[in-house]
Amino acid sequence: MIWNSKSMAVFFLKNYRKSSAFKYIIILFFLLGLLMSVLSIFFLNSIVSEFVPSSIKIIHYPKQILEDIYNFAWASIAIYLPVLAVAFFASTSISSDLESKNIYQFMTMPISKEEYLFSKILSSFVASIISVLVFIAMQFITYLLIFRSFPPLAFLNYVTVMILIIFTDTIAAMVFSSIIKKGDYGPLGFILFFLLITNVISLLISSMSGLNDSFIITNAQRLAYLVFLNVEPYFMVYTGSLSSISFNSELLLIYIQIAYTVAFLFILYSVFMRRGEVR
Amino acid sequence: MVGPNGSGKSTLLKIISGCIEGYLGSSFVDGVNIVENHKRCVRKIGALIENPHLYSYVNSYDMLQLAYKLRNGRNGNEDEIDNSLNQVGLMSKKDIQIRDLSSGEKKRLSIGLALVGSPDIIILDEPTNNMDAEGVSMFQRLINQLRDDGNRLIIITSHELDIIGKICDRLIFLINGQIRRDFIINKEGYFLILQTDRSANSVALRTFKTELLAEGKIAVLIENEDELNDLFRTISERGIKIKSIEKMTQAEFEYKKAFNQ
Repeated sequence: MIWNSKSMAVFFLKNYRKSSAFKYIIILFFLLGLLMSVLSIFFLNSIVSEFVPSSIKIIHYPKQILEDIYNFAWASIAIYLPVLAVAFFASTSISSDLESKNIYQFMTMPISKEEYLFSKILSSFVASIISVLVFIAMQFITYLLIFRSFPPLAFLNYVTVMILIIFTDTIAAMVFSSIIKKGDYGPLGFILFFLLITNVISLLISSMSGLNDSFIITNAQRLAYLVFLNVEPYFMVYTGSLSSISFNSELLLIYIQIAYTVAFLFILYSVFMRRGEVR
Repeated sequence: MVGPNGSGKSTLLKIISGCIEGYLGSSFVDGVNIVENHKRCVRKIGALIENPHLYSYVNSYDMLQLAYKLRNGRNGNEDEIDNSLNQVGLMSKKDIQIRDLSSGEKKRLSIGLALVGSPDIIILDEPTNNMDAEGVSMFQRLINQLRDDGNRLIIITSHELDIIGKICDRLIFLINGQIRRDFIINKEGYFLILQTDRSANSVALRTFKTELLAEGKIAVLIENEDELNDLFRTISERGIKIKSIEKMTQAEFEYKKAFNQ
């Protein structure tokens, strides 16, 4: 199974790599990174000063505060990139094969439906990671330039969390891709899902139960944001602070993210395996 | 297999090639149920189903290499892939991205994908659509060569009766998912459709293999040059007046009959 899936995933990745969509998304993320680098190198002190009362005159900001604000700024942009990347790659991966009839090329080969699905997940996931890593690499390089040292270990933690988010988003986007027959509707459907439907659902939950809506769906999606924004998620409530997020809170958020991944994976598998027009 | 649009040709091919599930009945390859033993069965099948657009940003070589890997469980060496490219006349386009190929060339590549690894059963769904004259001629040569090469089953659907009539041994007419006609093609013979002034003329031509189609319209099967000469001699001797004459392959003749055209 692994050999077939790997062969197909490498092939799909090759197709992505040479596609216009991949080039555009890499350029877009690079330009975003460049903009953030310029902001960070030339305006970091000005941004930090916004957090300090005007009555206090500070000549030299402590490195820790500068680092916190730096991470805060980059993470607040980075959190939206996985959604954008998977909208390009994962949300069209199955639907475009159905639309272009390419899926029949694979269904008449000695491969299982699971192998095909796994290769699609793998290729979309890797393509999304590569594009998001362009931005994260620029964040890393800019950090080196500004602080003349390597980022703290939390940076590695942040990258890991981003990869987890990309994986969840990939699976969620592929659910759309397996439901929608027209390839073009996949990205639109997925972005609408994240921008509108998740908010509507959380608002509904909030109004029905009186709970803080942010906990249910948005918390899990904003995992990286929370890790680097140092926002402590107490039960149902956010509390902002400049101190680092606790290990337990981070673990809780990772659990929620994994739960989403498993749920989406189950839906994706059930939907795709039941498609009548392909074996 | 020949039939009008929506007659169920592609669906039947999808069932035979194990592409879809959830239908009544069963499809067997060498006595093995394709649904129950999919991998084992489809290893023997090479199929071109519908009209796949293929993947725009890879080249023909990559596409064929993947098909080879999946069908044979190992990487194909360069000669094996080149051989497949040669078969469909795309060797010169080996490194060109698929989006830069013409629709006819894409069709040739799709046929090449079905032939990779020399499967025992080849299934081709409307293979000559979008092909230019050169492509069609290449296709005819290829099918004849494949048939001569060995004991192989080739199933083709098409609307192009003139091509089908030349390359196929057996013809099935489908309509609304039902078989209307199923017969062995006589490739040597052809029909002459004569429009005469009287139906009684068919009696005069009774020494030939004839069929009365309508008032004064007679189909005569001609299987060799002598029969043709005999026919014209008889027409001349009996003083039969011919209003029009039309030549048809057996495939065209049977199709028109089956679909009341």
